Amino acid sequence: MAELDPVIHAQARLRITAALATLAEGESIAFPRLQELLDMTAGNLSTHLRKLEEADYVLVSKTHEGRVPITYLGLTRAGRRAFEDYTESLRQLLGETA
Amino acid sequence: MSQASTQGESPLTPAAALAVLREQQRVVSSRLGAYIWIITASWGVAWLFGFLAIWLMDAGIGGLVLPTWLGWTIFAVLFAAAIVVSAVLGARSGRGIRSNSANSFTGAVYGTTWAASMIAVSVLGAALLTRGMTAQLADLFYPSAYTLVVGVLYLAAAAIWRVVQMIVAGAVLVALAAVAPFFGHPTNYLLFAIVGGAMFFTLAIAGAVRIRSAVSHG
Repeated sequence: MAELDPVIHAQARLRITAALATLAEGESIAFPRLQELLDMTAGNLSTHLRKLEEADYVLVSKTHEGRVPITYLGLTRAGRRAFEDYTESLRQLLGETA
Repeated sequence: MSQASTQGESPLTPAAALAVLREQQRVVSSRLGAYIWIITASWGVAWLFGFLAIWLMDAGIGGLVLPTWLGWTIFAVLFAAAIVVSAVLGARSGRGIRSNSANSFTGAVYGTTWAASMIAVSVLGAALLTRGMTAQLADLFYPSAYTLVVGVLYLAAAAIWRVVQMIVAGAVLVALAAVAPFFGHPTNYLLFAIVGGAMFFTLAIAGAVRIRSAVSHG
């Protein structure tokens, strides 16, 4: 049985990854909207996003809307696959059949 | 959720992790779709009272017959209002969310298909009128033709975005469009009001209940 992915298996990062996985593939979400959906502080969210980005699970893209800088976040293909594998591992550990 | 529990370093049992994962996805989906029931309800109002107004122009109840100009004005205002509500709340739901080019393409093609098919129905109707379609037949043709197109577009949306409610809405509208002319004019308008209105209100109530339960658990 596969080990639970330590990058995802921590409450905050699990919540972030789960939230990003509800978006359609290729979609991304602005940092403030994600923060609002998760009810997390900006600092806490940034810290965990950095770890997800280092693992190549989250793609951070910075852009401008007018003069306002804006950061968009979305799961990479590897991140989405890792989340699916993680969910599958949990189900197997708990005896839920796929 | 407490600040401590969001630090991310507390050990999670697999059961707790799966519960966190499912709860988070449910909360996000319901927050992103928080306005859908209001949009659906606005279409319920448009269908019920809009078509009722048209029916009242020709049928009337207990001596109440709506003047033609008033009936069409009510119809136009209610449908325009539903379009505005959908556009404004749809934009609010999607705020901060950026699509990729493939999804944008799908959205653009779908949106254009709406406009093109609506225009096509009006051109088809005009063509039939020039070839002798009577006003009585037009009263059967137009609402059914538009509703058929709307129903098929809902079914296409259900297939593209995998929304089960859209299958219900699309199927009801397609069936309604096909069957309504059998009832003749003006009863067909009453049927559009009651069946269309009831369908949208049922979906709106179901959506509102789902959001409520997600919020109370969230």
